[in-house]
Amino acid sequence: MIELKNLSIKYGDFVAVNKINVEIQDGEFFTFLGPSGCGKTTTLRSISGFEKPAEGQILVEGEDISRLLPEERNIGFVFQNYALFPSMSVYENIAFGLKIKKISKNFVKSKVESIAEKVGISEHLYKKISELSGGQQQRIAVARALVVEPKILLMDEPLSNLDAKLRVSMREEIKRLQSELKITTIYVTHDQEEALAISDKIAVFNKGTIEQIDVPSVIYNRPATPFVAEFIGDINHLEGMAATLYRHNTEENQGSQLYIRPQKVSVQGTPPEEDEGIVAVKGQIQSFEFLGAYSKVIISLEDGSRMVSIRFDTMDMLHLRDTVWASFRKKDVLAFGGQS
Amino acid sequence: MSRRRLITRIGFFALFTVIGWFIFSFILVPVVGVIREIFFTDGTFSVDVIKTLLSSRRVMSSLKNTYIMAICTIVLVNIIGIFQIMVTEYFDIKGTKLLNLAFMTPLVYGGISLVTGYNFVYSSTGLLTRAMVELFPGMNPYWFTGFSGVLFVHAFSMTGNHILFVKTAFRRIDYSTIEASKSLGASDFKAFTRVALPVVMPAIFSATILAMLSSLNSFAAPSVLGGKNFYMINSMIQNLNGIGSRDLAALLSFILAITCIILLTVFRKIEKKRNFLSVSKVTTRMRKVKIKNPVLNVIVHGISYIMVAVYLLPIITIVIYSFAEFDTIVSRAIPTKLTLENYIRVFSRGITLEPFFNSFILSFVAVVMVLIVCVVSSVAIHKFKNKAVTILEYSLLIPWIIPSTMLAVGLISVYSTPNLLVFQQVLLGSFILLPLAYAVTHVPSAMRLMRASLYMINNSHEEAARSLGANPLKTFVKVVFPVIRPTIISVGAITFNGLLSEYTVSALLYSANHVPLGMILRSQESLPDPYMAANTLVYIVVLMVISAITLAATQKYRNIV
Repeated sequence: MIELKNLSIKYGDFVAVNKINVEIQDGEFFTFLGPSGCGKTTTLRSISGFEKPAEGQILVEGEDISRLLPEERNIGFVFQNYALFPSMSVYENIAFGLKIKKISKNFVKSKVESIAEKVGISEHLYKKISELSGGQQQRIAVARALVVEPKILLMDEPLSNLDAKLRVSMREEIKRLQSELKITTIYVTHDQEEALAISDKIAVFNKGTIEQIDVPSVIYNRPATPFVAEFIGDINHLEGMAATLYRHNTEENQGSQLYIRPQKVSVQGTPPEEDEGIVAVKGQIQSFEFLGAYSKVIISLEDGSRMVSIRFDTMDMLHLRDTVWASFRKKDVLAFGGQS
Repeated sequence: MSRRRLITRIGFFALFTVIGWFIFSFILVPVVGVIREIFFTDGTFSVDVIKTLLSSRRVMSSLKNTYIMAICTIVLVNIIGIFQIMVTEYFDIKGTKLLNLAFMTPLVYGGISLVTGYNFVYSSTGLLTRAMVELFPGMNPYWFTGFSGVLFVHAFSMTGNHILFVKTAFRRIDYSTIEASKSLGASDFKAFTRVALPVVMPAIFSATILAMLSSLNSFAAPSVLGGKNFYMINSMIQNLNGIGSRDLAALLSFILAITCIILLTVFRKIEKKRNFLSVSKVTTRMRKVKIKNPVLNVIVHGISYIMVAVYLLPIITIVIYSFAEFDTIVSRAIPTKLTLENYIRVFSRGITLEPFFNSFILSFVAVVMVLIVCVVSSVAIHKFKNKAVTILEYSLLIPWIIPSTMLAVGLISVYSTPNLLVFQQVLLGSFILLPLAYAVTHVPSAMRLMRASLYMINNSHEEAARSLGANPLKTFVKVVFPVIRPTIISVGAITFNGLLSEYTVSALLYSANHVPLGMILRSQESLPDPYMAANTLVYIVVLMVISAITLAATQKYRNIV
């Protein structure tokens, strides 16, 4: 188990990571998710030993490793830019960590070949790094980190340099490899879709602190804070609707923040039947966005705000500038800071 | 702390102690030595030397000559340099390959050997001047002596930096910006001056700073071509040092240093304000434009070919005459017979080969010192950010702003008597002082190249190695070193090449038992011995060949890696 206890990292007066606490179970695929500059990579680098914590502990199996040098931690690291050694061949790159440990040549060879096969780069072992594509380089970076059989594997946005299609196939492969090897993995990304798809658990970072730690479905469906709600997936901010939604229109309720996911919003040309559990607002269709498997309908509401609805069916019945009613169920509303 | 970590730390500490001693003893102490020489000649503070300076007409004139020469040099170097870029990179001129070849010659042929070579062709007894005097009897045959001769050499030999920096910057210009200016009504010439030139201005500034510093520090040209009445600061320092006026020599070197520091500061400030970065997402490669006006086309072609002749004539003449019989060399008659006799003589006799051997050994020792200091220091500067490293960085840059003559004068001042810093030895007159001085003066330029190559190393490569179990030393050996190895080899080769015919520091510090090649070239210039003249030509040709091979090989090696 990995435990980060009250971990803080500072650069002069700037606090990059502020007293975070995380527990990661053995064999778990754990993701640090957050926008740029939120402290996720800094935390990852402190686990690997490249950043020194200002305070707090990093415990692996109960042992505090925060004072150990990077080379003494046995933690694999896959870098965002892969950091493959340009002066070495693919084979030499993968064998590097084993050679440092002065393992016999034959054993190194068999280990390198075995991992190369696992990540699907066997035919490229004797090529130069510059001769390979981005996807192949990424596999080598993973193979190089895994071949030394680290206790933990850290991955810092490893897919960010790949094109959209390759990202999807590579993330599936990473997940397959991780499940196969059962290696505890900490993965950093700013891509929420990637995090939701690949992780056993997610920690959502914001301004050096953690907003929420949970399994992907809870993070998406029951965000703990407005930040998580807005950061994960598309969402409509229901400004000024507290009066419509709350039975008791208290000051506290007025100050609460309300959200609804676009897929929970229905759009129709006529007003829906009255129902206490349903809220309907009138507006005009501002635009459509066709996104392949589904479409977005952007509605301009009477109060000037905007509401997005996602539809998987055909939109033949709807036209630009049509007057429509957007409706959603009250129980689907995500509320922060109020009393329903 | 593990035993291994302790040993590594002790090793690093010992290495940095040696480098600290090198910097303190051969950079900082000599600089202080110069100041002591000026103001504390007899142990008490005195400004008498300034009065002596102001009352000496010859010394004051050397100062004036130096400053006027520097201004004239940068004006002419920029005119010639920018013209060269125009005709090789912008305008479509016939024979660009020949033009490029000619304009690149200052990169393989400089210092005392270039001055000697130019003197062979352009002096009063030179081939070209004699031919010109026959054509124009009224012409002054001594035009290549004094101010005009030195300026001529400066103007044509100091364009190397334009070729190195401005040309590279010019090739990076986005051609679509030129096309845009033309679509808005600019002529080809206006597009060049209004659009292309401002973009390469930072590079022109850098080249100008270097030309200015080279001119201020010029030594070989005024020594050989100055004659009896034209002195610049460095030639005057050598003169004063020779007659025992070390305090005055020190003061002149100090003034030169202050001038260089002020100029560098001013230029840096201007340079910072003028920086243009391309904002294009995709840049279009530069394309050449034809000069549409036929008269202008002929004039530009004509000037280009005259410049080619200026550059290539001395080289071609020297190569041909190095194969001529020695009486032909003396009379400067057209050679009727070519022979290998001069080469056989130089390479078969110990006495003629000795200067080469001396310069090889002296340069080799200096290069080893430069590489050790530069590699260790630049890696430390790159990796650590603390006060000790900052002091290390600035200390190693001192020789860049301090003229090499000042450092040489300082070394003479400090090490002409037994000194505790060098275990009570007298270094003046010993073998080691010259390589030490060579190393000190070449450390800053080597450092710049080393640091540039370290910037190319991705920090994550080192981190990757550490995460795979390599300690800092292993990470350096296995990951960092292979990446910087081409630069180390290039820096070593370029430094070695530059030192083979070094003259400025050699003239002040050489030992009689190890006379370097630069001194021999200079002494043979002043002695009209036919054998010596023939030997000089062979030395210059061999130096040019070594330079060309070194530059080509390092370039090729860097490309391969």
